[in-house]
Amino acid sequence: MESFEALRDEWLKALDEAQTESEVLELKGRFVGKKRGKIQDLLMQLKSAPPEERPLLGQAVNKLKGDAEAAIEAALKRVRAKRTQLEPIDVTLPGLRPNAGHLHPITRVRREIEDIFVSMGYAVAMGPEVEDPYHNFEALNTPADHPSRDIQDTFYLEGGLLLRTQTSPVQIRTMESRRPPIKIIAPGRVFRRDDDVSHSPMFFQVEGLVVDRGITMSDLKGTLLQFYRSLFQRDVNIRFRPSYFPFTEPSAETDLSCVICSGAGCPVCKRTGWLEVGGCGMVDPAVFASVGYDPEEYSGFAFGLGIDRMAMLKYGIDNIKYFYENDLAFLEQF
Amino acid sequence: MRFPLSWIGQYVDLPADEAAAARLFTLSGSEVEGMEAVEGETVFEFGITVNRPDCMNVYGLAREASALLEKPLRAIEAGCAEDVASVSSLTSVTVEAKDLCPRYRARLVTGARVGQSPAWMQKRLIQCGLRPINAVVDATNYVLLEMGHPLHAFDLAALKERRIVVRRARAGEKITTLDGFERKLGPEMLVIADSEKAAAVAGVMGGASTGVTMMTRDILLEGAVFDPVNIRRTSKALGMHTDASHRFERGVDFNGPEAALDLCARLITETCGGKVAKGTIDEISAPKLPVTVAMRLDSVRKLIGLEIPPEKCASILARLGFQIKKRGERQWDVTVPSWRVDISREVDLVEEIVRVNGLDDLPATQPRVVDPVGGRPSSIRAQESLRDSFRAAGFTEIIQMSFGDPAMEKIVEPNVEPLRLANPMAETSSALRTTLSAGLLATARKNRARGARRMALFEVGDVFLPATDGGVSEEPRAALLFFEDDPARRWGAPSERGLLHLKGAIEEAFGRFGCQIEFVPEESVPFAKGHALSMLMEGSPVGRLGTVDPALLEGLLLRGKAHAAEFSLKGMERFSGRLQFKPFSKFPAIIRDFSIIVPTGVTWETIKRTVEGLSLAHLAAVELVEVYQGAELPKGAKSFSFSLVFQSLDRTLEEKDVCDVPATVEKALREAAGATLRSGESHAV
Ligand SMILES: [Zn+2]
Repeated sequence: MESFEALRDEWLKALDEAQTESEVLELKGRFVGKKRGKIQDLLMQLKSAPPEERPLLGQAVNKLKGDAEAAIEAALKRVRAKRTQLEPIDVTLPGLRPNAGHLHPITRVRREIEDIFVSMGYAVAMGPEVEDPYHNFEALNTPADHPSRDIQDTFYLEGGLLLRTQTSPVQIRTMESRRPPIKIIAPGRVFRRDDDVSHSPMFFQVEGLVVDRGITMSDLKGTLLQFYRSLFQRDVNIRFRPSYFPFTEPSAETDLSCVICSGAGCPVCKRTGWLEVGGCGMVDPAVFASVGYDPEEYSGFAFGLGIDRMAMLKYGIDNIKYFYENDLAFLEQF
Repeated sequence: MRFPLSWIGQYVDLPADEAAAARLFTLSGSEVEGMEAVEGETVFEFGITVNRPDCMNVYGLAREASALLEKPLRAIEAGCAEDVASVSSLTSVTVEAKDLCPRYRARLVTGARVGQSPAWMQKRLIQCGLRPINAVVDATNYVLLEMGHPLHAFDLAALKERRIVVRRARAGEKITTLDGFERKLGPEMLVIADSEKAAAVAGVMGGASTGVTMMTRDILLEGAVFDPVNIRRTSKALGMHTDASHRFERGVDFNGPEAALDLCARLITETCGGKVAKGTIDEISAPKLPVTVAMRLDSVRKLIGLEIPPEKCASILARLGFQIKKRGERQWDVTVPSWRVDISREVDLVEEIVRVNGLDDLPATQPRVVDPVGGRPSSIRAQESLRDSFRAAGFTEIIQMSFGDPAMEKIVEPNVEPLRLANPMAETSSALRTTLSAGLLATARKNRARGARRMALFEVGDVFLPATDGGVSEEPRAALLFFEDDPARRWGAPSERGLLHLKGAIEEAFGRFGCQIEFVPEESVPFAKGHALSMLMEGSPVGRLGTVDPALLEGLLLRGKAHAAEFSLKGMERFSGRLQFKPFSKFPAIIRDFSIIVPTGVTWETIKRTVEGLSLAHLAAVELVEVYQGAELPKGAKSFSFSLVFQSLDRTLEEKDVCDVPATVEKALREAAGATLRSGESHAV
């Protein structure tokens, strides 16, 4: 009987020390296993005990078995609970951010603009940044020695080529390459020899061109209205102000109701309630002539707008220079 | 261009509300850019577009207002009383350069006493931003402001033989202009001369010695029309932009000299006394006939999408000075007034009608057309995909100027002579960029100076290379840069990133559209020896990457470590649609791990190629686990641990499928790379 006590203590101690489920299961086999378990051994030994001792011994073995099984169950429960238990953590530590980079704000706004126009059925067209004077000026009805050339101070390369002053040459290149219907936007870098507080010698522009039969200036107005409402996600208004561009007739400046003050007047709109956002107009017949389109058959509109300007309005950036200084403190905000 | 509102109001009744008047002009195309009180009256600052020289004067603006407000335009009283002595008996005009001077008209005032101009005239000149000089000069300026025609006054006595010759300048001819500077004249410049020497640069500025002073008695007034292109070239060549040249180069009213000279002569005699000689000299070498334009009324609606009643169209044109002759029910012949040099076509007339009627009336409609091409071209989609990949890999996009410092370009791209701007804003921005990396390094340096110690930057943009035909080859490129001069000391910062991270970012980015880049060790500037690779796309070199030579960085005063890559994106559109699904296995893989010891010179490329060259059945991947070099290994040795993954598309592999692998691999690597097994045996996992 005493050796049963010792056995029980030994078993309980071993189960207590077991750390994993497999350790406990191994002990279980050793103690109460059907084949080689110690209990099984004891039951076998019982047969050789004197008959009068058997009932008592039997009781004791059964009790030992019961205790062992209970202890095994408890140990299993304990190690299983431990397996699914987590280490403590200070959940107030700062979040570990994914180490992602940033897209330039110009890229972000350019994509937004492109997406809106693509959803309106436009194709995105590209052209070279180094242009010849023909595509940048003459084909756009801006002859040499005409004062309209002064509107855009131009960077020239040695040899006569130039850095495009507008993405309008892409209009010409597109019309030279195919027939109407044409409905394109041309985003890209443009260059003007101008560097002061509000001008950068390089900036980004988007030009649009739609040519087909029966295109009207009212279509132009509806297009720009829809575009600006999509871009600023607001019920903005536009107004056309007569202006002059060599490649459009009639020509207009587009004024957008101020997105900062909603027309009430603020420093950004110089208290007028309107923001000048870009030129537009109906394609001049002289431009059609230079690409061999018949102005009696086709009409079209063209418009331009500054991506930098849109980004400044959208994000409240007050200096165009920030875009090209590439200060990480600026870029990492986007 | 500034004009007091009261002066314009002299010829048309303007709204009492000045803001309303400003809006009126602005919304018709003569933008009021500013408003201020000068000499007690409101002066508007107008921004007049280059096509509208007729609006660069008081009367032209009054005419606009008359059309906009549908109110009468009052005439200018321009006549002058003439003396009996005829102008042709007192002087003569010879136009030799007829091609450059289609009209030269002159009037003469004799016996004047030149003093100050009257106070009311001085006030208006000051309001318009001009400085009063004397009664005669002020009168010519006053007429210019009111009627738009530039006039010039000569002191007749200062002209040799008291006569005018209009000719091209002679070789080496010089003139001292009214502003006191001596000007060298070119052979294509038009001058107004006397019998001997130039007395004025035609249409730009008069000469100092023949100008009107307080001593002048007899005045020759010039009202001419010059060739706009010639005036523009002369004005540019001499660097002189004047009120006169500004108008002449935009085009003046051919008939303008008539009333302008009359008014000017009268204003002079009113103040200075003297007599106006009888008649004018008027040399017209190329008469200008009125322009008549055929106009279809339907063209208005067709172009703008809005019907404007014919009566309204007619009234607008009439108030602007056009004459209409009806040729049919909906067709007119419209004669253009001589001051409208910008109008010669039907579309120009449509613009006039729409402009005055108000562009704000246009309805907002949508064109129904859709572009047959549509969307973004695949070359652009590829570039956008790269941007997204690089951003996701931790790089921040920068956008630099397309021109940069030629010295900096040369450091990164010593073998290409950059194209130069003929008129750069500074030497440091005079070269069209031949590489994006130079700018990335410059950007790193700038940000380092501002305290940033670790950065990952990229740019996608064009470079400009001299083409063999003498032109420019514009090439889209991408470039990346890691820069670090300190280990991460920020919560969550990644551990040090090196050349292999750069390589991985590129592999990942191109993999997204099914394009595999091959990397080949190859030395190049600006990379450190043994730390440079070339990039091949479908066998052709497209770019390079490496660890920037530390000596070069030191030269740039950029302390730290930099790894850079730059590659061409030309022809990327061919990968459009290249990414295709591959069948994958649904059966478990068997993995065999190896650990081998090789001499340090053996590259991973050699090991990988050797194993792949065995064409082992069911081999799905060779995966590098670890490279080790250190205390546990003999000197001159390193170890590679790698796994071979075996997998079948149609069944579960069994041990017998791969039982020969360890021996085969061992033998091959021993022969190819002198490899020995480190762990002694391979084992399954
Ligand atoms: Zn505002």
